[in-house]
Amino acid sequence: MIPGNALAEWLENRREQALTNAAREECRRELSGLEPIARLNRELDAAPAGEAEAILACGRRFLEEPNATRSCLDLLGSFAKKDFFFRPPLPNLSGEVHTGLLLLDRPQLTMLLAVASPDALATKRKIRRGPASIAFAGARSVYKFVKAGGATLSFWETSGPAWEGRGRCRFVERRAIEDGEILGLDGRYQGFVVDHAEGDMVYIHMSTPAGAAPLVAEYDSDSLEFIGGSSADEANSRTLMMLSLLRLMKRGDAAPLFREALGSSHFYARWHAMREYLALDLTLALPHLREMAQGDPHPEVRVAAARTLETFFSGEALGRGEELECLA
Amino acid sequence: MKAIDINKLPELATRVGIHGSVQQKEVGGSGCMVIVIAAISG
Repeated sequence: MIPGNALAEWLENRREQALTNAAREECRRELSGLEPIARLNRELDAAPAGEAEAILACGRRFLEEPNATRSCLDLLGSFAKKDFFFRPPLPNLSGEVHTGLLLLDRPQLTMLLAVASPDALATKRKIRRGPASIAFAGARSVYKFVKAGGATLSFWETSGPAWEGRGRCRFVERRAIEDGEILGLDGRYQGFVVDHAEGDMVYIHMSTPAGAAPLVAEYDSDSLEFIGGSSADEANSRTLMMLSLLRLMKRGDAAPLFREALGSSHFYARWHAMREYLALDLTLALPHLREMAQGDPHPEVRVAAARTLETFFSGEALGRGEELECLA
Repeated sequence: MKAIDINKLPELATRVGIHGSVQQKEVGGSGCMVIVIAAISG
């Protein structure tokens, strides 16, 4: 990197750097003390835990208050004007099409202030190879389009829970979004696609994990059929990866962890744990596999468990004996 | 310990990726405009 003159001077000047850092801390204090943010925090404290409607109602009141968003933007803008090297004291969250700052990060509600550029959207479409998806994010959320950027959105929905993949998703409507529009979206059943945008879209996105779907669901944009999903539970995904690692390391002493994971509330996690357990120690896993084939609440898990029993543990399969590997 | 080659075990009909993964590129909408907490860069 070759710094410009201003950056080179700032990098040489410890005092200027200290002032920049101090401004960042001052901004953090002022932001948390802003009345709309403080009020939102108070309301969230009082909202019943786990009730998505009540939690999102707190968020919606913030978005409906004309000065709430403005006061946050003005505060960040005032610090940026004073110091060229000011960085907002907020986590930076960016994706392929958006750049954002996490204004609020509470267990029951997150609030992202973001900009999505039409160029990034166009590029994403242009460089895409192969089939594409319409996503159903799984969580309930509220958007406020501070600047709509002349965007046209098409809205999609599923007839049942999107993550169960019953039937196809269907087109609902296509319409232009207005500046200042507030939009509620139930990501368990509803999704949207940005069909067109003329300028930057500046928006606030509030989302709650309360009552969210276990999966982010994807439907093919051409056939409109369900093609799969990804876990909406980050901690659970990490647990599953750890089980795979323990199995690769042949850690038989970790068997209790595999048994614990068989009790996951997520159907896909239970089967993942069972596959790993069978690949670690089938003697220990077998009684649980039989229970799973008989009584797992999810039909796909029961079918997979029954197929495994038939393939590897029927009289004929045991006679062949070539499928089992002795790791001892 | 006896074990089964994991690649020979059946998968579920519903394909489920890990958190933050996608099967296909999204057209550009609610999925790519929301927060992926795993991507927090500080």
